[in-house]
Amino acid sequence: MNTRIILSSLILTISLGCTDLVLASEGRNWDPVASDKLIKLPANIIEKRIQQDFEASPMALHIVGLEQQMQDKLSQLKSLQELMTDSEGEALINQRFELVQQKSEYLDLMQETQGLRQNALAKKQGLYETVLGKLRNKNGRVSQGEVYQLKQKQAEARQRMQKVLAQVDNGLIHLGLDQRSPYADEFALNLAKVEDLKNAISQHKANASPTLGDVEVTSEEYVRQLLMEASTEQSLLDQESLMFSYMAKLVALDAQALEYEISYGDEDTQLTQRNRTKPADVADMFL
Amino acid sequence: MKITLIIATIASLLSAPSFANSLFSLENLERERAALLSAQLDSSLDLNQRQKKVQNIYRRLVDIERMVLRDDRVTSSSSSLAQNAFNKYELTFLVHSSAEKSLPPLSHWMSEVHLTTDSILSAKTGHR
Repeated sequence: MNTRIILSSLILTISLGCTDLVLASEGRNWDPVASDKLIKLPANIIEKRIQQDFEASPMALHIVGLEQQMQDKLSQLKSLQELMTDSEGEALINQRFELVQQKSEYLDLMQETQGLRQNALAKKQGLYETVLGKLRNKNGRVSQGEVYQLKQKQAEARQRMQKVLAQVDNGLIHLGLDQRSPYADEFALNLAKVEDLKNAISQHKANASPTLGDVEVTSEEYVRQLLMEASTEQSLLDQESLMFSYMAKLVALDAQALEYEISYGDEDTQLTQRNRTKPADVADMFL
Repeated sequence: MKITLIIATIASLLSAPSFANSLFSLENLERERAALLSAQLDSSLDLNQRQKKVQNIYRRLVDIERMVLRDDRVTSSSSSLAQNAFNKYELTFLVHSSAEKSLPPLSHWMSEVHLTTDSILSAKTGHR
């Protein structure tokens, strides 16, 4: 009777587990924020920074703990299955009951891990979307702002001036002002050094653009790629959830079969018909 | 920890000091250009004096115009002075824009403000 109650509650628990993936994850959260400091990082470092932040979070630590528990549970299941090959009768029934219970516990752990992974991925996606939005805002603000327009005008004016530099210098010589000014001398001297420094900066690895398969991309493109990877991961997690629900369904069916077996015996048990006196058998006595 | 401190120190070095007047070079340019036009139009100077004065200012203007065009601080804020200066390249960078047209700066300036011999001769003195 007691075993039957436990089995029924087990079936109910597993059935609920199939449909409900809501977690009780108090104190196991990961709350990343797309701060301005994060946006300023190079795109490839943003990804690493987010991953690093996640790995240090209580949520990630809890997932690691759950993974360990799942491994332990899995070895218990394997040894129990090995034990069952040599058992029979009442002992086998008990071991089958134990197996269903262990499987159910394993699924509980798997459900919690799956939920945490989904949760972390959703947060990561949200974070990447915020980063992308901020990057777009920043670029839009820069390209539309008055300061940007002004800088463009200055650059155009500089190009325009460049074309007549020699002409103006010749004009100075023509006017008898052939001695170069201290500014012009110093500027020419510094110019080559400035170019060298600028080249060194542009070639510096810390200033390098992020790459995707050896192709240099903008930060925006890189974050878009990260979002695509996150949605790939999301669809794989969805598939894993489906697998999990099928596994839970199988355990529930196992438990139900075991319950029926305990109550009504196994398939081979024949229904015994009570002997009844047929009128034909006793008819002769009345002749 | 030490690396963070070093980066923070360097970052503070990279940012321009806030007390510097970002329009300093442009204001100098405006003053020099005004001085050039004043010298050109100063009737109290004789030809020799004017030429000497104009040449000195011209020399300085060449440098200052180049300084303004190379000075990123000028365009670090959208001040009306900077907006106006770059919207009117012909008038602001008088020496370099006059060289484009192979004209003396004064002639170039006068054509830009639409002052022709005819318009000057047909002008009448009076109250507006």
